[in-house]
Amino acid sequence: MSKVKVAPYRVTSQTPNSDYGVTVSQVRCSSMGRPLELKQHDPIIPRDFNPENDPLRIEMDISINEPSNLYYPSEDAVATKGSRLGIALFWESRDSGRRGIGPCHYFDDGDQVRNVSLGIDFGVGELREEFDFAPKLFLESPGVIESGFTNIKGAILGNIDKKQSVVLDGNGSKYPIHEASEGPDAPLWRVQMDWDDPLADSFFRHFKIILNTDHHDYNSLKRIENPQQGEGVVPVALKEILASTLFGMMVKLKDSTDDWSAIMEGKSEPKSVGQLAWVYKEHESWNLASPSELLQDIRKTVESI
Amino acid sequence: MNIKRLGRHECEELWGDGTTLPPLATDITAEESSIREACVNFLSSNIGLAEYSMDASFALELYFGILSFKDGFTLRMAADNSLWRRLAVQVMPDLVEKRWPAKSGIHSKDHFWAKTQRNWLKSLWWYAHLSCQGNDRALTEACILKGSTDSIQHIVERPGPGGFRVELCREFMKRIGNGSINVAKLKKLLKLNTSRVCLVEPELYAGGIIGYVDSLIQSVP
Repeated sequence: MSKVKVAPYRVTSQTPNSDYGVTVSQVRCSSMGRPLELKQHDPIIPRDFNPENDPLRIEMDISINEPSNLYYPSEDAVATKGSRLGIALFWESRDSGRRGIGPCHYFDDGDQVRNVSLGIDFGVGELREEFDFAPKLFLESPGVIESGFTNIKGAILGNIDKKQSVVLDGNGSKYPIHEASEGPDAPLWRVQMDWDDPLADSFFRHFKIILNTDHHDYNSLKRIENPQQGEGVVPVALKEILASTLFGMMVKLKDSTDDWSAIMEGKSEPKSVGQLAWVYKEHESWNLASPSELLQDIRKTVESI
Repeated sequence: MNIKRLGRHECEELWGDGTTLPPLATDITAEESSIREACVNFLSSNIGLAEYSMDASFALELYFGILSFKDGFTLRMAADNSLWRRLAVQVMPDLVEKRWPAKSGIHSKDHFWAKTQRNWLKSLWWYAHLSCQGNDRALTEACILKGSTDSIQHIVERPGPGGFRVELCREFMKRIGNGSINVAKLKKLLKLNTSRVCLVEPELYAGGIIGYVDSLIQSVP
């Protein structure tokens, strides 16, 4: 849809008395997304967004310069003459147990330019953990019947932009590495793998490496500052921990679930433990034939971090 | 509403081999204590209830009374598995046991904490939420009373990858309530729905959700 322009989306939280920005500390984008654009209308009261107390609004501006390009016989056609199309933000959150659609905007092939602002408002205490959203195009009412085009009202015609994720609870870390004060006698690190359903449960929430900040060797796991490398250099010891825990995850998945074949067929849900295992197997060519070969491949992957 | 949280690992440690239930927590908050007391009172005064009749009545009481929005319970709390684990394992394990007693001396951890969608308290609250008709207890009750243990399973245990379409679930339960479908047909409709929502958004379908459900019903003999 080359004639559709999508501006960066905005996340704001508006209270009856003020309109303030959501701070970056608890909101991050998915790896595929663009950086969040944050409003700072109220610099006097800067504070973290709190999903327990604050409402949330997502908004996004979209321009459709030539709606006629979306109609047959254009090359990019998704609908036939006389159809009416709609756009809305679709959101979903497995963590919150719900999904839905924001207010819809409509247009037809006679419109010259359509500039629309899509938005969704969430009330206080409605969402938890993470939610995704994407602007989608749908058929509001069918027009002329043509072969190859749907004429079902409500049919989803496609995403106008990539799906974006907003994390409300979490640390925004790139890897599932957490830190905790567990006492000088506790081990340097431990791993937590507590998923119920590897095909659905979030990798970031159900696979955690916890580093013990009280351990005398803890400093050997701290990232080495390097301005050229963004987050800093990952120390060798931490890479070894990552490798062994990922190996443990693969072994656990393979040995203790009935879902292994579904995972290896790529049937897991996005961002799940199973999907991560599948992505590594497919894209890093992890050899699952034997534990020693698997461990070797995992270490190669981790070396590149 | 101050309800503590309980992680899966802590549950595993507390649960042991499942032959005995974990003891009530010693650090129960005042609000947890009130919730427990309200649940005990309700179940004690409805002692004749068993299986689905217990599920149905208790679901309504939880949703419209003990853990209602007006008393500060939120959707965010309702979606928090660690809250439901705390309630089922440390605040009222004895009440969960009334519905799900031990079999061959072993308690089913699934209904207490191990399966997130089978935690008894969570599944009942969500069943009522997904059956709710205009926030009217009597109308909701009319739908729920026509259901069965299977309808809880069909409605609550399959949230889908992106969560529930709440109004769609409520329409299905409305049809159960008015007798236009039964629980066996509900299962078939939900199966067809799973494939159809890949192409069509129910809310945007001709006639909205009502029209969408009508179309599913017409497609299932």
